[in-house]
Amino acid sequence: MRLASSFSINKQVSQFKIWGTLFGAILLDQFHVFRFLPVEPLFTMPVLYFWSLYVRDSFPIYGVFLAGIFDDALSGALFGQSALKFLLLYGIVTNQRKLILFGRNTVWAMFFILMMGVTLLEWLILSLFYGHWIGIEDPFIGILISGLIYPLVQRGLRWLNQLNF
Amino acid sequence: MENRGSSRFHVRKPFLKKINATFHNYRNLILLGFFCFLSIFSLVVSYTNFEMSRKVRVFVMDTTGTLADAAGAPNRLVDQAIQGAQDWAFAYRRVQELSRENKQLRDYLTRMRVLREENKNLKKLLKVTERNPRKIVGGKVIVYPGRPFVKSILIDSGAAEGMETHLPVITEEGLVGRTLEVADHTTRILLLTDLNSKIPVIVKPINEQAILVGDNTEMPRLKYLPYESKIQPGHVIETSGRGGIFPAGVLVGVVESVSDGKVRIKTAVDLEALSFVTVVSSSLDPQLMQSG
Repeated sequence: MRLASSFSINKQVSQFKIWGTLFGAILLDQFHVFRFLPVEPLFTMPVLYFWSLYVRDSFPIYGVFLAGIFDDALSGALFGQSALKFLLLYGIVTNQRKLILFGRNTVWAMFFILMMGVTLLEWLILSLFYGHWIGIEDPFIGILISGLIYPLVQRGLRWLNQLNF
Repeated sequence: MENRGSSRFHVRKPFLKKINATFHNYRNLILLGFFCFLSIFSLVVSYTNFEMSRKVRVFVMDTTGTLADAAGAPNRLVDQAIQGAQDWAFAYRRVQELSRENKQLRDYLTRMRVLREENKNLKKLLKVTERNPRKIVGGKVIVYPGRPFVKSILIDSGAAEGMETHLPVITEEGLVGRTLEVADHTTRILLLTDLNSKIPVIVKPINEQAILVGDNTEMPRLKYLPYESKIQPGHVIETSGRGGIFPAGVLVGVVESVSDGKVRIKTAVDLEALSFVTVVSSSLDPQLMQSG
């Protein structure tokens, strides 16, 4: 599957597409639509990564924060937990675009690295809050599966991006 | 003059562009810092259990409850299709089994009626004070556990159906957790594997008290066991009834491993495959009160 950094992206993407896919991904993760599969993929982070990377100018930071808060409210997590994770991913991606778009497969590789980084940070913060090391196996399986589906998500979003509506 | 004017314009444009870009970058960085600070602030406030965060969560739960139910439809369809296929394949055998079971249940029912009358009369003789029977509320699971750092579920019964916070949640296999946040028609249930879950338990048959602590893994840990505990794999864990939330004697699980002072429990209920749960309400059941 091609993961080149050079494919054409319509920068004038509608806000409806961005927020529709992001909130759709949050709902997909939340309601476990793919529960019948042996391992469930997570969609929010790949979608956030894609839009932050390719259309950062149409993707306001306050929206990322609100998406995180919405995710927290829905999942029952502490308020700010997902918001912080989303903001960190957004911040790094928008400020390190040159590095991420450097080579043919750096987009995919950096997605894995960044996911690991932000999840590790989330794990550290929560462990500090609760005063003991909490389980980390589940989050890392989540990263692995999300990383594996990233090319599919990217292809889907590119296709959506090229549609005129 | 014209040339000089236009050249001046060409010199100034990139400079202004650069200033604008730098300002844009700094503005974005400041905004990023501000929202990160806001997230950390929300984390601290939420951790200290601020009432406002609970209210926001309850509001979101209620507004998205219907959506969650609709989103779960594909799952239910797949489950039903699998179940349907199995039922058709084994229909004849199943009918025979159910007829046999039905006959047995009729016998049990007759015996139960006789025993209930006898029990009532004996209680009258002994002047036993009647314990108040609790109302049971059932709920269909509409949001399943699966988030890496959160182990909770959402069910489709809420305050309108008599739900309250801090009520025990069970299935026929054993304990699931307790109610956490109650909206009008939805309730969030904290599973016993969640980080915030702490349940007073008793180890059978050695009768040692302990606290079952969730740590977001599939197997919660037992803490605060006696210093020279005799706990072994295979011992049964039940609720002790201390603390007032969970009734005594509800099966929680079985000791899976004991190593380096760490005791892991295999839960009696498969928490990843819940479809219906039962909440033991704090209000009294008028029907059960009448029947005695």
